[in-house]
Amino acid sequence: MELFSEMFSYAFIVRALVVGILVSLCASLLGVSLVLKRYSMIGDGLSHVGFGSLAAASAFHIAPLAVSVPVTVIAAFVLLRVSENSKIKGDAGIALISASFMAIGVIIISLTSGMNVDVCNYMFGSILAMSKSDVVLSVILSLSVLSLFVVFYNKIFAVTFDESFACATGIKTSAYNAIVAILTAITITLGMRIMGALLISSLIIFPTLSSMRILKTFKGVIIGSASISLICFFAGISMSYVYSTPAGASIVIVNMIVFLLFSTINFLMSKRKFIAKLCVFALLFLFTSNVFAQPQRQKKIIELKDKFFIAQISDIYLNTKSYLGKIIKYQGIFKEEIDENGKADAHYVVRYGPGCCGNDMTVGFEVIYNGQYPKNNDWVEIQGHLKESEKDGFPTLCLKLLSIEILEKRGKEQVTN
Amino acid sequence: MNGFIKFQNVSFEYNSVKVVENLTFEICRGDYFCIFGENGSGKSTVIKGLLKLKQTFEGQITFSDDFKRNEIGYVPQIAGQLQKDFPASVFEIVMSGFLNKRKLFYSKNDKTVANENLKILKAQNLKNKPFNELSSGQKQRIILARALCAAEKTLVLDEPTTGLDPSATSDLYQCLKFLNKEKKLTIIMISHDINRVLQDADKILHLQKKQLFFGSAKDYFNSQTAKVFNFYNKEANYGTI
Ligand SMILES: Nc1ncnc2c1ncn2[C@@H]1O[C@H](COP(=O)(O)OP(=O)(O)OP(=O)(O)O)[C@@H](O)[C@H]1O
Ligand SMILES: [Mg+2]
Repeated sequence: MELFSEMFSYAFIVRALVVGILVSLCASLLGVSLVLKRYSMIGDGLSHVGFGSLAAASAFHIAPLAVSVPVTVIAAFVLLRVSENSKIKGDAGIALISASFMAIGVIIISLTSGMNVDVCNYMFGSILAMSKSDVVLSVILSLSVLSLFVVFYNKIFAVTFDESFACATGIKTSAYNAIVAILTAITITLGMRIMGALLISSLIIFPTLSSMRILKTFKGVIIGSASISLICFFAGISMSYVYSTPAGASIVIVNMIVFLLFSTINFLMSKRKFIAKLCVFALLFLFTSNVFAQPQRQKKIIELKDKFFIAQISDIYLNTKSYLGKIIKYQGIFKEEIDENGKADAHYVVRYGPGCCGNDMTVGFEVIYNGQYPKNNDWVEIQGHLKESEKDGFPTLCLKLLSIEILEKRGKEQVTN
Repeated sequence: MNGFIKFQNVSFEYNSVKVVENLTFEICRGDYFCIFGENGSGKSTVIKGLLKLKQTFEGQITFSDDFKRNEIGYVPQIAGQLQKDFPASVFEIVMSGFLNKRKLFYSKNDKTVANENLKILKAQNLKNKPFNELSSGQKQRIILARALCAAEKTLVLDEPTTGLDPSATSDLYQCLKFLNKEKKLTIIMISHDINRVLQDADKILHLQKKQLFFGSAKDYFNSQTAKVFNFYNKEANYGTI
């Protein structure tokens, strides 16, 4: 429980949780329909299309979701057509499209910004890549996915179970296929930010397969898959937090463990389905009650710790508005910048980040203090208000210090996340 | 009675090979319409064309205005092989028959009707079982129950007695007769059970790549087609004795 309250004190983790919960709910619901119709590969194909369009959007500095959502929706239609058309081999068609978009994405990236942290984020996912407006959009989209799914639940069942019966008896099957395709496309683009293009399709496939191990009714599988997805998401994010592993991969690993666990349960207790069901719901209940019992404390002072040092600072740059004027407290190395006249013209408190191509990156803020500055390279703890300032004509951020304290014992100078 | 469904010079193809051609017949409202023919003669194809699951190659199928797609119940051939590992309970599947009524959620009445249909097919004890754990004959009953839920005006059945035991088979024919005579449902059925079907059916279509016979059941009984076909059947029977 300590762990959760600590996790919830990071604004960017809370944001990732909100989006992640909604997206994994959507993915698991749609996943049931996709897996049962043998369309699992469409998810994978769409994520590659999403990657290509995100790369293009960021190359041309357009809001990433505004480009990738429509592109992926169109791709979803095409993929659906391709896999319905028995003349072209469906799976080959999907592989074709997904590889093409991946290649387009990689080419665009290498021509514009080069392989950088952003690309890495799109490939493998990151919980840090979200600004507030992204979050709002994600929440709206995933809520509409959820409500559409609930409204059309019965029809989706009919079309998934026996499309030719549904079609013969006057249900507009192509319309429902289209709805599922659109919802899938939206869900995948939203989830890609956290999970990464390479891993998002697992969010669609794993929960369904796991819950199909022990549940035998459609409604049961749907509910089970949604619960499993939520639990795995929480567990994965917590694991990522504790062991500093990438979020997407951690979530997939948890999903895999659950899948193996359920396969074993299915194997051992094939005659006692009731107990297995009970286990699932007990787990779910325990988990949610714990999470919601956490009071969400609003801290006055935002302290940057060793863990997520870089992540939180990049979040401050990304979502400056919600941090401006707040007191920020952290430890780091005091640095003086000397101008050509030998006079100190700026001061920083930083730590060393992961080097890129031999250059060590420093992470921190410029500091402004009315009192006596410490010596260059001292280990200090500072507290100060976040302010916007200007440097060489560019807007940037700095800390107006309230206090600066030199510490004997030096902390972790090198940070990795 | 004017034509409910009219075929005019219709033919169907697979991979640009014609499998049935020159079909001209009509099905009237309230008909008990039966299609005969040996394996591969194109019976299922005709039914699929009628249900718009398969496009015509030549010719036209016309429907009268009061023929509404969402009033059809359909039993596909070999329903027992449907979706091998699909997680769904029997009741969920039977209820899905109601979904063609332009609505999103089920009503209480739907549940009662579904239960009644299960009872007609003597399958009410299977209600809460997982569908994929049933035997093929049991599955066939469930698919029939679903079709009964969907059928308001028309019931289309493709060899519905496949896998049913003798008593279930005779119950089914009894039920079809009741639906046709009392509830005025149009019934369109493919069957190999010629002798039994001829007792109830009004009209017969006999296919053999093309239309060998179309007319009333009575005429069919005396026709050359029936004699030839039954002759073959008898020969087959002698072979096995
Ligand atoms: N999907 C398909 N692709 C290619 N040819 C097909 C296909 N389905 C059926 N055919 C061909 O069309 C012809 C008619 O098939 P159909 O299924 O209509 O026969 P049927 O009369 O229903 O036979 P059965 O009594 O075995 O059910 C057959 O010769 C078959 O080879
Ligand atoms: Mg057939």
